[in-house]
Amino acid sequence: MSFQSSYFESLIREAEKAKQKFEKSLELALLNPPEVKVGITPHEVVFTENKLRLLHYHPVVEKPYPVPLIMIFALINRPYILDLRPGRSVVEVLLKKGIDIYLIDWGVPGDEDRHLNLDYYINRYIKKVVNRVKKLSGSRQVSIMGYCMGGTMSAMYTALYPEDVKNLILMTAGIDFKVDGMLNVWGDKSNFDVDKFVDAFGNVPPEFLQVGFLLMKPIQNLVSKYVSFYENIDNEQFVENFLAMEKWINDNIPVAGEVFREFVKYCYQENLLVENKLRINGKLVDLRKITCSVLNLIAEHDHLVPPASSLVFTDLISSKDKETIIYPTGHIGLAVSSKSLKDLWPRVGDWLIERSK
Amino acid sequence: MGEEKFDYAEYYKKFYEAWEKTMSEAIEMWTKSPFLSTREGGEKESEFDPVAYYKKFYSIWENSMSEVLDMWLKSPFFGASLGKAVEKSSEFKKYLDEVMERSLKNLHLPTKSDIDRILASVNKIEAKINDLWDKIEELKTEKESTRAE
Repeated sequence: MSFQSSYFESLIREAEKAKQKFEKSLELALLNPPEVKVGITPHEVVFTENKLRLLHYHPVVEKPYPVPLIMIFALINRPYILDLRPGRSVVEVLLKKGIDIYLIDWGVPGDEDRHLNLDYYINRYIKKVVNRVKKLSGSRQVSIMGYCMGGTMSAMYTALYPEDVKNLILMTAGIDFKVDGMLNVWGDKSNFDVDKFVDAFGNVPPEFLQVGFLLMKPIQNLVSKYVSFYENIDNEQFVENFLAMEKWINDNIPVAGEVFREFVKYCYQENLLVENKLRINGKLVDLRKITCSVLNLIAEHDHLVPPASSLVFTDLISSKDKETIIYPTGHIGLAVSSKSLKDLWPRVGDWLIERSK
Repeated sequence: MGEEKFDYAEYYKKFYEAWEKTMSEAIEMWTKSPFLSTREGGEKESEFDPVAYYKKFYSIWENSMSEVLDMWLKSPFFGASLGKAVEKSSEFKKYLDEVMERSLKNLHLPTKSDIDRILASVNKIEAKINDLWDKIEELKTEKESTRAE
């Protein structure tokens, strides 16, 4: 048999295999995706107000460390990324270390919440949650861990109420917004009229944010991701993680209009936080007032919050005990990659334990 | 973020380079493939893996296209166009909402903003109840500690 005909035969065989894999991928990813359970670490809701729910995870050690940890996620997407599924959960790793964990689930803002602003989220919601956690745990202070926009808000809260916070952990938190990043270009005053947008839409539609995030890495998000899924279709573990991630990525929620307007204007367009000029309800958010122990976690390949945007934080605060870890992963990988869960998060747990006694 | 910061010449050069790199790889892959060879059998045949070749080609395409698109999406031209599209869709949405509000008002039906106002009031009441609960708890604790003294 000539080489050409054997080549064609091998191509036909590969095409047959490819067809089967493609059908399986299509079935799993689009036509009949199996139900994926996320955020299932046992917990109870200990406080609610409006759409906000405060979750308290059941400790897995007999006597957790006395200083509780409050996790504050961004107002964009759902917070269960921190507890995606068993074996892919920051919550699980820290619970095993003996940390007492609370998590703020902001819920889904309705159109009636369009007027909720930074003042309300920080001075009302976060303050209320911190007071509640202090009361429930009996601790005078709490540790706060903020992710992405939740990290920026955590930094703001700590600057406004330094007496409440014993330890602050920031995960990929934007602090300096005049750095080289795609969102910084798109959100620039000359390009984006945030007033007009919020006045018209009220809350920010989830589709608007999702399309924006997809566009930031179009090849990876629209092509490579599915190629990789197709290639690993027979790897059960990979498929389960992929589907859980897909569920999270597509589980977008609206953002309250006013807080979006203020965040874009004060942070992205005027960069007030890094200049210590941001005022919330008339009170100056002075980062120099932060004196607690600080751990600044940065994702080296972060395309949403460029590392330079977070890196500056430790230079702006007065804390003596501060550490920055630049980890070789992406914005979401920091919370869900097997590498960071095996290597980084146990280290974060140890850092916290040392300061939670 | 001014227009002058973006080097369009550099962008087109990069775009061309990416295209050239991808195409040269494809041509090289094709010319080196045993498919063009007239030899029958032999060592080369067993070494040839079409899937691995396509993967290599895909990887080159993916990297070069990502780099080019990243540059384009960061350009002020794209930022300005995106901004304009968002601005126009905001104007259109506002116009539609105004028409709908006016129509419902004329029909003496509650509008969406009426319902939103009611829901916002309910939320305010809930917040006040939470504050009152906290106050009661505080007073209880104070009372208990006074008793204990």
